[in-house]
Formats: sequence, structure tokens, C-alpha cells
Amino acid sequence: MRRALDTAKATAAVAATLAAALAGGCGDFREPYNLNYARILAVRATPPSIEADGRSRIDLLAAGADGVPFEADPATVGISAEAAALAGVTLPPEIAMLLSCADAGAAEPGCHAQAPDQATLNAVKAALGLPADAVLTVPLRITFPLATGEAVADKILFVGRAGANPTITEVTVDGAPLPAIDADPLPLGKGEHTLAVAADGGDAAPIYFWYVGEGKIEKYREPVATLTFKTEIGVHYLGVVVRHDKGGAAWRFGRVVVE
Amino acid sequence: MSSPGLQRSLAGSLALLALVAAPRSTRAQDEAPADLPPADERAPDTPAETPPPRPSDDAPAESAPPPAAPAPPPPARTAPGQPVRGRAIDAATAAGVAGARITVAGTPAATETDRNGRFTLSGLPPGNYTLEASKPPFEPVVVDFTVTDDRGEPVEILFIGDIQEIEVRQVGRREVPAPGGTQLVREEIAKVPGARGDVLTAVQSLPGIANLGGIGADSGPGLVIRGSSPSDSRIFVDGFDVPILYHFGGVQSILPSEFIQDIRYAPGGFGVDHGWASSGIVDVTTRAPADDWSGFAELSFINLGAYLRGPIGAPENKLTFAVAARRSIIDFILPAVVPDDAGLSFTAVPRYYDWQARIDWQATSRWRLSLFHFGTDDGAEIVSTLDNASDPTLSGTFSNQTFFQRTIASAVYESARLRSRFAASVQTYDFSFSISDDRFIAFPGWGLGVRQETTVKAAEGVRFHAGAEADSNSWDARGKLPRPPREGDPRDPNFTYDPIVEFNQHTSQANVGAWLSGEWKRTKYLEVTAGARFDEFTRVKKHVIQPRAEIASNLGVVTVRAAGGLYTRPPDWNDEVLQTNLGPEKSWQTTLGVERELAKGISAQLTGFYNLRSDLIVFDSSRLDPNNAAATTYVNRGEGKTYGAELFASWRGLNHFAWLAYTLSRSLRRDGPGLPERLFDYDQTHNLIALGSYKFGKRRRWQIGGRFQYTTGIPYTPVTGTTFISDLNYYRPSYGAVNSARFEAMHQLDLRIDRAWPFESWKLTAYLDITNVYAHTSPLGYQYSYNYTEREPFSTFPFLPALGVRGEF
Repeated sequence: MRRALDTAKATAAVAATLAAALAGGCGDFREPYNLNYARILAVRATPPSIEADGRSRIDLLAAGADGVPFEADPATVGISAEAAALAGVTLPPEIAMLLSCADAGAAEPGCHAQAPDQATLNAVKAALGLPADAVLTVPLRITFPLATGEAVADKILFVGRAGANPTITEVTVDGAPLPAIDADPLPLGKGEHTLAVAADGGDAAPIYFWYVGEGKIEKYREPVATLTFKTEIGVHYLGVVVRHDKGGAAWRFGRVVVE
Repeated sequence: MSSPGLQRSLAGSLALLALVAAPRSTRAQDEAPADLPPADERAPDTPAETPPPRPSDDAPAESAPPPAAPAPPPPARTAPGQPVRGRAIDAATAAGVAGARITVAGTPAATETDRNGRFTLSGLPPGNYTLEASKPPFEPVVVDFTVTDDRGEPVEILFIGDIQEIEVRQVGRREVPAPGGTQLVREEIAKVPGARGDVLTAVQSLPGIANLGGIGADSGPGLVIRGSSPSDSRIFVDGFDVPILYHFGGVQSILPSEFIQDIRYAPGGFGVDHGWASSGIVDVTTRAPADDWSGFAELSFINLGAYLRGPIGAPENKLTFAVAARRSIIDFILPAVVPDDAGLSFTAVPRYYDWQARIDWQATSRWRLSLFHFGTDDGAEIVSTLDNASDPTLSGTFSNQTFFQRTIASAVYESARLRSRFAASVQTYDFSFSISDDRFIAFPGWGLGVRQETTVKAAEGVRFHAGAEADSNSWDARGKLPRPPREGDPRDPNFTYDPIVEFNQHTSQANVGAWLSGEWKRTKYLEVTAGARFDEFTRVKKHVIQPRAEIASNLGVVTVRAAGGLYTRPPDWNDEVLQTNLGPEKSWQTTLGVERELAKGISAQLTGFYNLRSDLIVFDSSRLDPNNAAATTYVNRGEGKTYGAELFASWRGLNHFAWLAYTLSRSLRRDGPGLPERLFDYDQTHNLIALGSYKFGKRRRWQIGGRFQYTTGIPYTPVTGTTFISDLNYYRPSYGAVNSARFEAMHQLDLRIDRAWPFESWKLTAYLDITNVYAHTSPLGYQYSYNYTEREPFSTFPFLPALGVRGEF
């Protein structure tokens, strides 16, 4: 046995972390919790898990360079061959035929995934060597045009069992409810503020991620986080995305004003 | 150890013995006066019998077998003459040669030089004698001298009163282990700037070793020799492989310079006596403690250390010992320099210990026994409060513990026709690494090794070498980590989202090797060594026979050397050791070198090499089982080749040394039949090192040196895009062609200055060793933002001053 310990890049990562810390920080990068640059923030399937013959709508949450979050339909939805390959799965062609996108003027606008009937689903599972009661994980790939170019995202759709997105029951800032996005912004002063979110994910464990237009958030992956404004005077969008490990996603955003 | 057949001479670069102030009756063989006949014509008036040994206090003579050198008729028994005192020095460096064997032809008188190269022979009756000094890797030197019965001052036949007075009379040639290889002088390489006095760190200043830009020779993956993976090379200490050689980040090696006698560096084409490496080797021979008291205490920017050696009991016991220990002091410094807002706290600050102990017993003139123990204990625990959006697990507590110790017992028998060494070793180790509470790896285990090597002189110029070795390890493997990336794999492992390899098993492995070679050196125009090595890798049930040969021809002004053969390494690197269906990686190596002495003290060697690799172990994603990440995902289907040239020129004198090392190399890989050829991860087209050191001032108490290095930047694989994995809130990068881009070139200047203050019974020395004087930083890789849209380079260490003081006696 030699170098069994040598998870070289892991060690390098630790060393880089230490070196970066010694240099005074971990890179002058944009923070993952700031909204002021364009990207997809989340992709949602409603519902995230469907049975045979079920239907799910696919939409997304994105941010523009102006720090304003918005919901949108994907430009395209397809099967992610890359994700399937990474998972070591070769999906039958029937799965691809379940996906469709329609314009806003259509009878059912937006992108949808339609589960096959039970017989087809059973055949697909059999072809994949899965038991009849298995839940099929279908890796979807969506694209969406951003100002910086076409963004690409993958999202798993679970087929073979019903499931729901988590429900965000409350978002508070220093104990006060975060107002709706089109309501008057919540006034805040400079300094630290406590963010809290309550969500119901059913039997799935929720996963949190806070966002703010500008400012700093500590523990931004926790249900209770700390938001700090120092010089960021003005109106900022603030919100949270809640996911769970069964493909669910939900979000709630509002506005705050720093005076 | 090394195959003497491959230890050819580097044309006249160095000297073993120096003679000065030769008394009226003392002469070197090549400058014998007309009134003193050559040794083989002399002696009708010399004694015919050998006197009994009469040990002196400081360098006892002993009963000894007849020496190897042709002997003149022995002196007749008579009253002892004056003691004979002398000194063996390396004329290239003016340093005393410790441990040189001194014998007097036709008499039992024999001794060894002390740490300063000095020796005393007592009990020789007046007469003419021939002395032979031998100290591998130097070639033996023969000197005639005369003992008189004059009262008064002792006869001084070899003496260095002051370094300025050295007069070289005999030039011994330093042997090199293979074409393009190098035999290092410990005293010299310890002063290489930028190495902070560490001889094993200075190894990276040799041709053929890639510059990875770290603090030390290694800084992580290991030595990259002639375009090969770190897994392909081995580092041996007294014939046994060591799993780690450097403390954290390569700041310092685990062996202090005082315990190292020689370092043989062979980037390829080495003999059959070393195996389990498909590229190069670094072979460290530790140093037997001399029989005088000596020691030091040292405090430097790097560590605190102490060393003591001396005799055990009376000198005639011929029992000596040496002990040493060091502790890093970075744990006192680091907390003070980490910014408060860095988000890091140390629950166990990075620190290391290492320790060494050795006992040697010259049981008889032919038997020498030794017991050497060394070990290291490195540990650190860091708590990070920084969030990591792309890899949330990569936060919290980082813990790294490395414990290793090895004991080597050896017995050496040496006579004129036979040299035999048997060594047995036991090692224990405990490696562990963890991130957060749920990602870890641990390998506690132990191992046994044995090694037997024998050299028989069959006739003049004809020798045979045979040997065998076995190395067995048994360990518990526990881990829960993503699969470590392999060579050519651009991705960084993600501890949160990558498939996790989880294992908890007891594993054992044994490698057995045997070799036989013959050496024919009947004429200086042609020397041939040929042999074969057999290796059995029991864990994977594979064996391989590896023929190897070397031819050397001395054509007068130049020596031409060629070597070639098959070299293999077993599948024992990282997690590949978990598979039992892999075969060894193979490399056919060919090397052609030319050596020439350009002028006195200036020599150069130019070496070309071509290595063809096959059966390289590569990752096969099609074999990945999502439900069993430790499944047989590695296969022997990679190929590769490395070719290039190395130039090594050295200039050595009494007060200076300098060398120029340049490597031109290209190393390519193909991860399977039909796949595109690509650059090797650490391919480095140019690697230039120029260094020098000069002694000056009164009694040469000052020494100043510099080292400059320029290297081509290593390749990297560019990120060409990302995919947002929405369910995980994670960005997966897409890569361009593997290793299709390069970092910018690296260059740096290191400086070192030493000063000595000798006192009556002890000496104080101080040094300042500054790495990267002009603080040029070169990128070694990129750190990406969580969504890979931004990147910043992480670079070479900008500036590292190391100040040290040492008191020694």
C-alpha cells in the first residue's frame, strides 16, 4: 500500500483553503447568495414526482444582472444524456417523448412532462433492470436564455410515485414577516438581521438557500441565517429557495429597504 | 542496495584523497620520488611479517583480512614506528569523507575515518606501505607512505591543516547510478539555496525532476521524474521503500541531513537491484555514526532539533550511536499570521515531529551490524467556518494525521571477494484524513520487509550480483470519500455530490523480488552489466521478469553509457489497491548518455531518454457501478511515452560548487486504444536550474549561494462551461480537451548565506535561506467560484525566509 492517504486534490483543496485564508480570504468572487448577476437559481417541477399518466409542469427561478429574481418557462426541455451517462443509465427512447413545451398562447402554455402509462412505465423499468415498484429518475435538461448567454440546468423528475413540492409557511426578518414581492418593502437598518424560514417538506428533509440583492449573508444554507448590511442603502430583493431530497423546490421572495 | 555494476564513474569530477605537507618520507603513488620505487617493485628491506594490532585511543587498528589492493611484501616485525595520521577528503568540496575504510596492504591495520575524514593508524613498524582508502561511491584510492622510527612529531601522510593548503594528488571518480543519474555529496547539497539545509529537498534541483512549484520537492503528490506519475517512482531508505518523505507541504524531509550519507538519484535505467518502480528512484543511504562525540542543537524558522552521536563504552568496543529529534515550530507562528477574519481556527495547529536513532557495531573487520529506527508524526486539525456553496461538506473540521516509523536491522559482511548485506525491517503506520464528520479515510497498518544482496568478485573485473527482497503489508482500510482523481482527470472531487466510495476492510499485500546480474569490466573501453529481475505481486497474483542492461565505453575524452530494460510497478497507488484484478504498469526505458570532463573540476553529462509505457491503470467510467463505487473501475489499458534530454554540468573547486541542470522533455498519454493522445498532467517542456555557492572570508567562514530556476508551466484542462444541477444547487463544470492549456512559466531565485564562528570546543553557525527572493508568484492551478464563471489562480509560495542557528561540537 502506498499513498493510500493521498487523496491528492482533497489535500490540495484543504491546503488551498488554508492558503487562501492566510492570504486574507477565499477569492474575490461574487457571492453565491447575491442576486446581482444573471443565472438560474432553481428549476421546479410541479409536482416533482408523478405516477403513471401523471403530468408535471417545469418552470424556473432566475436572476438578472439587476438583482431582480423572476419566474420563467424554460426555452427547451429534454433528457439530459450527460446526467444519464454520469449515472450509468441508458434511458429508453420512450422517455424522451414525454416532454413538451408550448408558447404562452397555447391552450396549456409552458413546459410539461407527461408520464407514460403504467404498461410503458413497467416496460421501461424492466428495460433498465429495475423492480416494478421502483421510482424512475428522469434527468431533464432545460435551457434558458440569459443576458450572459444560454444557461443550462439539469433537474431530476421522479416517475412512478406521487410527490409534492415543499411548502414555505413563513419567512421572517428579525421576527417580522417578509412582505410579498409586490408589496411595500420591509424597512431595515444597517447592521445584522436574523432571517428565518419555516417550511413543510413532508417526509423529505428540506434544504435551504437564502438570497439577497446586496449585502452579506452568513449561514446562507441554514433555516436561520444572518443578513448584514453595511453600506448597501436602498431596496433589495430578499428570499429563500427551499428544496428537498425528493426533487421538490419552492421559493418565496420579497423586498427590503435599507435606510 | 545499488548495483555496483551500474555505479560507473563520472569522469574525473571528484577526488577522494588529498595530500598536503607530505613529510620527507611520505609520497603519493603518482608522485613518488625517484628514490622510492613503485609499490610492486619495492620491499626487499621491508618487514616480512605482520605485527599484531595495537589500537590507539582515537582510531584503533584492528585485526583485518588482507586488503583488496595488490600488496607489496609486508614489513618485517619490528618496534612500532610513529602513528600515521591522515585525512580523506572529497577534493571537489574539500569536505572530509566520513566512514572511509582505511587499510594497509599486507598488514591487519585498518580503521575508518571520523566525521571529519581523519584517521590514525598505530602500531606499524617502520617501513614502506601501501594504503588503500575506499568509500563507495568513490573509487578506491591507493597511496604509498613510509613509517619511520624517528622520535618527535608523528608522520602526517594525509593532512589538511587549512582548506587553502589542499593539494590534490589522487583523483577518485565519483560513481553514478545510471546514465543521467547523480551521486550527491551530502555536505554540498545541504548548502543548496532554497532547500533550507535539507538534502532531500535539494534533490529537486537535479535534472529530470519536474518543478511542481511547491515549497519543497513534493508539496503533495510526490516526485515527478522524467514525465511520470508520482506513483511510478520510489524513494528508498537503506533499501526499503518509505511511504512519505516530506512533512507538510514539503517544508522539510523526515530525515535530517546528518543521518544521510549518500543519495543516489537515478531518473531511469537503474539496475536490477531496485524494483517496484517504473520510472526513477531516489536511494538514500543513511550514515553510520562515527566514534567521536559530536552533536548539535538547532533552532530555525522551520523547526527545533538536536543531534548527538558518539561511542558506547570503550573505543575498542567499536560500538557507536546517534540519536536525533526535531519538532516543527510552525504551530507557534501560524496562529499569529492567520487573519482574524479568515474563518479558520486551529484546534490542533499543524505540527510535526520526527526522530531517528542508530546503533552500529563493527563486530569484526568483516562484519558490521547496525540498527536504525526513524519515524515521523504529523498532525493538524483546522476548523473552518467558511461556507462552501459548491461543496458544503468541504467545511467544518479538517483533520490530518500521519504517523510512520520504521526500524531497519542490517548485517554487512565485506571481504575482498564477497560483499553481502542482509537487512530486515518492520514498519508501522497510521494515516488518517477527515473532512467534517462524514468524509474520512484511515489506513492503520504494519509491514515487514527483508532484503538480501550479495556481490561476488569472480575474477578481476568480473562480478556477480544477486539478491532478493520481500515486502509485506497488512492494514485496515476504512474510508468514505469520493473517488480520488487520477492522472489526466481534470475534475476536483466533490465531497458532497460525487459518488462516495465507502470501504471498511482488512487488506494485505506482499511483493517479492529477486535479481541476478553480471558485470564485466575487463577493459576500460567496454564495461557491460546485464541481468534480470523477477517480481511477484501476490495481491494481484501477477509476476513479471524484467531484463535490464547497461554498456559503458570509455573513449578517452568521453565516456558513453547506454542502459535499457523493463521496469514495472505494482497496482498499489491510492484506491487502485482495493482492486485485485489489475496488473503492474510497465515501462520500457532506454537511455543514452555521454559524460566528459571539460576541465579540471568541470564536468558535464548529456543524456537522452525514451520511455515507452504500457498497461497504465486508468479509470473506466463505463464500469462504474452507482451502487458500488469501489467496484472494478480501473483497468490496465493506458499507454504513454516520454522522451527528452538532460544536461547536467558541474563545476567544483575547493571553495565553490556550481551546477547547471537542464531538462527538455515531452510526456504523452493515451487513456485507451483509439482515444486521443494528450499531454501528461505534469509535462514540463523546459526545466532549467542554475545554482552555485562560494566560500569566502577569513578561513572561509562565509558561504553564499544562489539558485535560479525557470520551468515551463504545467498543463491544465480549461473549464468550458457549466451545468446547473438544480436539485443540488450545484454547478457541474464541463471541460475542454484534457491538458490543452498551460499555466505561465515559473521562475524564482533563492539565496542562502552561511556564517560560522568557531570556538575552542564548539562552533556556532547561522544561515539565512530565502526562497523566491523577488517574490514572483506563478499559478499552479485555478480556484473557481461556485458556479465556475470566475476563477483566480493559486500560486507558488511568494517568499519564504528561513533563518537558522546551530551550535555544534
